[in-house]
Amino acid sequence: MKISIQHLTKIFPSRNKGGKEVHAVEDMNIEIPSGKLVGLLGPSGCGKSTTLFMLSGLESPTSGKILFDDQDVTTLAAEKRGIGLVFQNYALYPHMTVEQNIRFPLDNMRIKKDEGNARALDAARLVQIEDLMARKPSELSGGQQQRVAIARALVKMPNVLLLDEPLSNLDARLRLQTREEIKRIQRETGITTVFVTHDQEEAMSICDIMVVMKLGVVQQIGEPQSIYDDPANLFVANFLGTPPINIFKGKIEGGKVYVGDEAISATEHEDQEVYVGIRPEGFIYDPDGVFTLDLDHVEVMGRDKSVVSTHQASTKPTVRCIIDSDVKLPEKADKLKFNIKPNKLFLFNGETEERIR
Amino acid sequence: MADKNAQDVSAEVETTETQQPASKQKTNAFVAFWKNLGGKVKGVFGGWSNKSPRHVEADLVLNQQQQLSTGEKVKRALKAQSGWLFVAPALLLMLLFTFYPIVSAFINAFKQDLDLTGNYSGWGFDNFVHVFKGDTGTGGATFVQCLINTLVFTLVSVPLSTLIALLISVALNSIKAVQKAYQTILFLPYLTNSLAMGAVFATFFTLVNSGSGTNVGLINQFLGLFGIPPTDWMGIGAPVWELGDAVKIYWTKYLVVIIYEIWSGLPFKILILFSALQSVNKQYYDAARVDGAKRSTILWKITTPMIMPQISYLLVTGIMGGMKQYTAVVGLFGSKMGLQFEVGTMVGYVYQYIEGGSPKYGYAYAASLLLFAIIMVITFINNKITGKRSH
Amino acid sequence: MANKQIDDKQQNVTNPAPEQQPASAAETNFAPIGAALEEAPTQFDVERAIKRQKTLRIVKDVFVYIFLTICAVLAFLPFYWMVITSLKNEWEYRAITPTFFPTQGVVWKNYEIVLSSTDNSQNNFGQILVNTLVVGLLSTVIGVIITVITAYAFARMNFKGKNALFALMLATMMIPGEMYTISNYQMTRGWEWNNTYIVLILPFLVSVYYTYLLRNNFMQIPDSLYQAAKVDGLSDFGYLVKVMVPLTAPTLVSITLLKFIGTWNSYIWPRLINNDESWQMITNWVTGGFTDMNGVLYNGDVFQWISNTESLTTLRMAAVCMVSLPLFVLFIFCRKYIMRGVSKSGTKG
Repeated sequence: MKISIQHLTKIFPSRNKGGKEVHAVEDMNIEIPSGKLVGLLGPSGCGKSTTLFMLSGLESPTSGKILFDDQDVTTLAAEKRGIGLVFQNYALYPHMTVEQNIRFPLDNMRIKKDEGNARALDAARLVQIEDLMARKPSELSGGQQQRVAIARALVKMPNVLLLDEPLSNLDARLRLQTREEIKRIQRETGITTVFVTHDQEEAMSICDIMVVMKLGVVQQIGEPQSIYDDPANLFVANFLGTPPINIFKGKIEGGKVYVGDEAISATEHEDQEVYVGIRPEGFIYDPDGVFTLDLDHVEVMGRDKSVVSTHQASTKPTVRCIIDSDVKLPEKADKLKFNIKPNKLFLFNGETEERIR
Repeated sequence: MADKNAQDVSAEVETTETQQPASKQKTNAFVAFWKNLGGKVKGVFGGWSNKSPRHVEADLVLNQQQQLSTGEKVKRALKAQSGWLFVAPALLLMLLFTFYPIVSAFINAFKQDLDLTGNYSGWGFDNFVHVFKGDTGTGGATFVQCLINTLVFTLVSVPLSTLIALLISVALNSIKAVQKAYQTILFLPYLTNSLAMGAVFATFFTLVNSGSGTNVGLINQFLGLFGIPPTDWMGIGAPVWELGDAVKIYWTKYLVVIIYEIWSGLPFKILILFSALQSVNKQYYDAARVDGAKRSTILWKITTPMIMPQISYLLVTGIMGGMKQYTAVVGLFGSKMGLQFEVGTMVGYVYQYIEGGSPKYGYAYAASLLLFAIIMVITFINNKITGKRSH
Repeated sequence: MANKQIDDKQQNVTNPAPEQQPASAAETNFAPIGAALEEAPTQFDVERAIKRQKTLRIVKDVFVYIFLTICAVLAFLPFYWMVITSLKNEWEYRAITPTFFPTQGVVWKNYEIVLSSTDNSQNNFGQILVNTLVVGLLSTVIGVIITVITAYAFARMNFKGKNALFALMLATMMIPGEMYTISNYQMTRGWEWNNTYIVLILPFLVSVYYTYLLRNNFMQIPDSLYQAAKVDGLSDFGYLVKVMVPLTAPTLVSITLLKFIGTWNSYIWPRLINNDESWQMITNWVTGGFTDMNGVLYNGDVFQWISNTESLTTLRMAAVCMVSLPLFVLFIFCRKYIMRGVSKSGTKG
């Protein structure tokens, strides 16, 4: 199922009289090819869940269109869209057993009992919970409940699978395991899947396509790696990557990028105030380097070292550089010098914060 | 601004989950009460041991170790018991007006020819025999007749009004505009004097002489629109069928009582069910819609099971209360509960023996013990049924 | 793609969709939209579905509102009927065709007759109202105070036999009140307490259920607050008055209201014990005769068929209005508290 979102806007009326209305989603345009795993990523309050609920039909858009395979489904009721939805809290029916939960959509489709049983079992096998069919949701762990919810969403063979923060209620270990599981299931079924998350690492690791949102506005759409390597603006650059990108106030003067007094890179852009973003892995230690940082301390992490330092032009309290653990640093030093990898350095307009390309 | 709202939304989503158990507890507080009651009662019969004496002992031991003066010890010991001072008023009143009367009811039921001053002629089961054998009482009804009346009124009106209340609550829950207004109007009949409103209902069904003909009453007028001939709902009439000599069924009068009971029972049930519905997490409905459930499926397969604790609470308390009904029938039919007590209830049967010129207290005590026994049986059955369901 | 194993399996069992092909993931057409719900899975007319769902929604809304309106009308009708009947003359009330408005003039005189003790010595309204207010206020105030201190003792204090006593109190709730009403009747008659206020107040001061409710409410207040108050040098009683009562004010208001309403509606006990009608309560008054004894209203030729000893419905409805009106007013002003109290306590007032 191909999904096309056109000029989608959702405005919530204000809760109290005279208050401001809230633009949860503004003029969103996305084309989602069939069979892809798409992640809606953004900080809480960016409208990603609202978008998901509009796709499901539970929330109706203020304006704009949603097309499933070129059919306009904008006003089609949720129950007719043939979608599967996994809620953040799973919303398993507490009075039904796992089997009854999974069967529920099939019963509503009036599928015969034998066939329904077979399909429910298939779905349960897919998420590996076939041994838990007789239990009630309250007798399951969070991870198991999550699987039941996915099975319930999948059992009717939906056109589109929607997942709302599917991993947020799981502990760290389960989260890793489950996100791989989701990826596997999505591959096996080939169902177009949209999921919502605020965790950029989660999104980067499993998405085919990532949509970064902020305050209801789409910032950038693309494959995770290409967005990481080529952020459209300061927000996107800042939001992706752990540890996060280092940002400095700087300027372009005479074809050179200055941070403080040092010219750290050459550029073809004209003179202006800029933000200079440098990924932590973009620093190369070099005693004769072009960029000087005030060393605070070094964290050893095994595979690599994390150099924590400060710089007066930095917009954050510390500057973090990740360098190979083989690199020898001077034992005692107040200052360290670095060279910068050109592809890890981004320039952003000092006012609009848009990328200067 | 977009930020704010969406944060609110996400906060809601988060809190709904964490709060849910709490809110469930809240709405189930009165459900829990019944379970609690069972436990407490067991506690009484299962022995008098409880925590507090041990606490007190520990206190005393501590005091001795500290080698306090005797006066101080007594003072502390007294202070530890000062709770009795707080419960004393309630306890004294209950001793006088509750505990003693209960005990004396059990004794007096076996006294023959008991009179107001406490004189009696002997001991025995005479009172029970009279009540059972179909003593027509001072009013003219037998105990069995009153028992059947009460059972019919209760077992028809309580489930029916619960069902109607469920439908109304679901309808109420599904609308947005003017929901509050409807809720208020529907709750109006709660705060009524059941005797006074009974009198109003009686006028709906009563036929009166207008001087130039018969005013058949509102209900007959309404039914007349459909060509149904007028019925003398409240009149004595002939019983529709008889169960032996003792029991007669007067269906028109039964209908009047049942309609009134439903009307007056609805507001409370709507209030309970409506607030139960509102505490159900909306996500379940969303999930059911996504799962392709129809409205009726959602009602019977999702909503109803979710609020089953409240429904069964309403059924249980409704039936228990129904067994003790009295004023509704008096409001409709007057203190004689019909012409010859033919729609009398069990409570009415008990009271008729204390009123009037020749009170028979022994019969009243015996009948009230029977009422108690019947209520205990019903409680037992209720527990069996609800106990089974929870397993 | 690692190809849709279960998908195929499931297809075998269920979906006859013919154009299902093991296409590349990008083009997998899993199932046409709405396939799940329509009988013919290949063709699903979205536009038609949207239209139908719109109509259905309107039909459903209309149906729900009609249903609720009918229910609301039925809930309200008795009140309306009560009021208009109380304002009709008896002749109009008895007319063969009922009227839904007093067409023959509004007869305020009905109220006058009902209220005037001289016209209707049996139904001495002034005295009855005083009785009801005195008994209602006293038993509410004293009852609530007793409920509060008892609930406090059970919630906060430790004394020997506390739990056993509490259980015993709760156990009495299983016993129908009728059982001890008879004993109470015999006992208080023996003390010659009949035809007094005290006999109307004393036996009903303790309400086990409200005590239970309030105790639970008290127990929800965290211990730390109690400890803090102790550190601040507050006595047990001071803590009760200054901390617990304010914190549980909503419940207390609800209990107070429900208790007063309960007294207002009391019927059987006053009737039994105070056989002198001038000592009875307002609900007993409603069952009075309400005749036009002195022929104030219906003495003319037109109304000759109405006798002076006949109980008149219009008069009775006026009395019923008088009894219901205060509850109505109370409801309007205290709706929030009453509704919350009722839904919380789960009891009929």
